[in-house]
Amino acid sequence: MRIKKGFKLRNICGEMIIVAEGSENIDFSRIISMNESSAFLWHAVENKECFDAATLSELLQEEYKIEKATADIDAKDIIQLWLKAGIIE
Amino acid sequence: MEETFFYSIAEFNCSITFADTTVNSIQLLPSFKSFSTDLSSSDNTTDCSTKNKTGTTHETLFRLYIDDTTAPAKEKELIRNFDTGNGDTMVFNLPDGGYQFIIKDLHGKSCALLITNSKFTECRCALKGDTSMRIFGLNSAIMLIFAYAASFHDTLLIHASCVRNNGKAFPFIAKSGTGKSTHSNLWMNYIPDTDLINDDNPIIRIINDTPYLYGSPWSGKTPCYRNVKVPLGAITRIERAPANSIEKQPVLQAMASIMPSCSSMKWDLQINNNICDTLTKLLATIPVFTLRCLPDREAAELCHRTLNAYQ
Repeated sequence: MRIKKGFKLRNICGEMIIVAEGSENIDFSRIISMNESSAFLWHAVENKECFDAATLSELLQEEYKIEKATADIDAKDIIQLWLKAGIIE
Repeated sequence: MEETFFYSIAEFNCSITFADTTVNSIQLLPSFKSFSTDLSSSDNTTDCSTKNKTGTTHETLFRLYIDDTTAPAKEKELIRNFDTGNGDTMVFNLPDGGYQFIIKDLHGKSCALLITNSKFTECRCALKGDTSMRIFGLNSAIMLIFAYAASFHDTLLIHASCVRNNGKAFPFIAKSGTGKSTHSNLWMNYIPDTDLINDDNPIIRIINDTPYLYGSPWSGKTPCYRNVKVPLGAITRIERAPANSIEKQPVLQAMASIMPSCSSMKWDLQINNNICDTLTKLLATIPVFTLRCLPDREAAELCHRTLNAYQ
């Protein structure tokens, strides 16, 4: 997985929001809101060439001191959400 | 015979030069009359960074040279053909980071060729066709230039109808055809001391953290070209509904409401960034409401009462 080109996370008055930019996204008119942990993961992988559920799970375990089983489930969920939103590929 | 005119739009100095005044002249810009200024004296480059008391600069925002012999760029890459609602506009990237626009009218006839640098500070334009095509082409070109040049200075050109009441500006935004102008008219008919500032393209500019709304030379079908500056009160998005209700929008919804109403170029990262930054500053200071309403008196009264309570 990797983040699609042109999706930038912005802090808008305290809200973490993804806004599309660039010629690839002229027709992408939605904006996407992220909660704190999602924004944390996004920042952690935004410059990575490649990541997967295991990458996100490790990040969650380290940052939030949660167990691997829980982190694995959360990581898979978030990848599904990001795929559905069309912001990763 | 070359002739140059100076305008102050949202307190930005703009310079427009006609190379040939036989077919193209100031007659093509009737809606600019009240924005005219004699600024030749302050239009010098040594003074360009000085700020006056209101925080506005004497710098020239853009210079436009109108010359029908302007040739289309040889090397260019088409970004997209956009349907503006008033005809198609083709946008091309130029090798130096600038842009070329071909502005067409509703009949598909090209009315203006516009070539700009990357920051829209230096622009050239050629016009074509009869007088009404030239008026349309030139006004559209200047509107484009203004929106993007001013985006570098905490300024947004928005698609809205805007009234003034009690010393504050209240723009109404909505999808085309929803009834922005209708709602402005309801305020003018039923809310005392209300007047129209602009019916289609007012300007929002943030100066020292305070947002102001300015009239502009562009106002859609309503000839309301007023050179006025009014502190911005609140932004209201209008949706049609079977009953009247109004609610203040959280930041996320407010952003989603306003973004599509701002002139932007998503493919230009710098300009897109400028506009997102200005919107962020705006949302930190100004409430945004959604008014679900009928086109009736009660809708205007409900909106007026609610907006006033936040001033």
